Amino acid sequence: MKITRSIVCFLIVVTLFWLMFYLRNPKMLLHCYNLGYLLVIVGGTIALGFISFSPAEIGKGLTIGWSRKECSQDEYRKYFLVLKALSRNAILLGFIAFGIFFFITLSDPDPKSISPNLSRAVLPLIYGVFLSEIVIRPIANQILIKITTPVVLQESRRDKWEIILIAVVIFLAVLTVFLALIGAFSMARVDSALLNLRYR
Amino acid sequence: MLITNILFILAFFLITGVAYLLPQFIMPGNERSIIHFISRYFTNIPSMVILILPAIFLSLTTLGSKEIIRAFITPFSKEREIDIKISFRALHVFQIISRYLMAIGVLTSLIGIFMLLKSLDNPASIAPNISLAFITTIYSLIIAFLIFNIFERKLIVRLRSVSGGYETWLNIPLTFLLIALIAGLSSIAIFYLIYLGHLRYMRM
Repeated sequence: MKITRSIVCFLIVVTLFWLMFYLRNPKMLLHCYNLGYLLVIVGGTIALGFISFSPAEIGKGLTIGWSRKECSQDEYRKYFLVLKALSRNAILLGFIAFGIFFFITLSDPDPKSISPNLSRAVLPLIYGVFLSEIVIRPIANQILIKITTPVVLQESRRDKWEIILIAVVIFLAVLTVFLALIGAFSMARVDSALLNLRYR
Repeated sequence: MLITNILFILAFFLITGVAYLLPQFIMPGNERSIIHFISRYFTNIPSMVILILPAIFLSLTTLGSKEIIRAFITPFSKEREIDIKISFRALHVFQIISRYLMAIGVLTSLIGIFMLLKSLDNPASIAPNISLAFITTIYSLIIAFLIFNIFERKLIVRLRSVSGGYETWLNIPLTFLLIALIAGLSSIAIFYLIYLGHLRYMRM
């Protein structure tokens, strides 16, 4: 019952995303299919997983969330971390593929080919994020729900000075963005004024 | 406890609403008023539907509907001796749902960027695609920080009183909420300034 509900809800989510594509622009559905990229992302994620974990571990991690047999907390934690690593691999692969295609398109001298090539470069990133957050994360969360010890809180626990440092860094980042924008505007004005003077 | 929380949220929205509405009352029909700016650029019902419907179904893949409702009730239950197992389950529920919200925000923004790059030849379609790309991210951040963080914070406070040893001097989610609010408001202010500059440029 539980696994059927999960599969049905997952299919509904996928159809909602396709509907979004279709309602925006019906032709987009054809553009976002790319079997080669899909194979690279899915196969690469599994292959990267095999570097650090055995196939049996990955297989058990994928099925332990729905099994009725109770396991120990340590085991749940271990398989949760396995799936978390897999999801991170998927996002990383997407980013790497995106970076490679992005720089290839930027080095292309033909300006007409920039738009389609850049859009094609974003596709592996979409596939990677989809695979990690919509496919692997729910399976990992199925295990996370069974962990009743403070695994997540321990991760998020921070020191007093660390928090002050993070707050100061965020404040400075916002301030620099703001000042940079103001500076850019004022510089643009000064530049235009100077150019006007020079060319008169 | 629940009533005070609801009152605080209502007061927050009341104060912000008054702050946004005041310029409108002073200068009605003014295109520079911030209410006009927000209603024109920050409300998009289709992208709200795109965000919320997949988030509901995605959270139903891992969690039961009863479990979600129970998680919303547990921070406000009056029982003094709370079960640590149930509380951690509820905490995980909130973390999972907010994570899904963020993920869908990022995915929709990526899809919007894909559509934007696909139709760069048509200049009329650039602006709506950019808005689709970023408004769902803003909505997901607002929902995750303003609604789910309150429940999460309450549960952490309760768990701290039971087990002890968590952050005793500072309420961490509250500080992060404040930082995010400051960053978000300053970014809105920057956009508003750019918008004003744009208006001025158009007049020139």
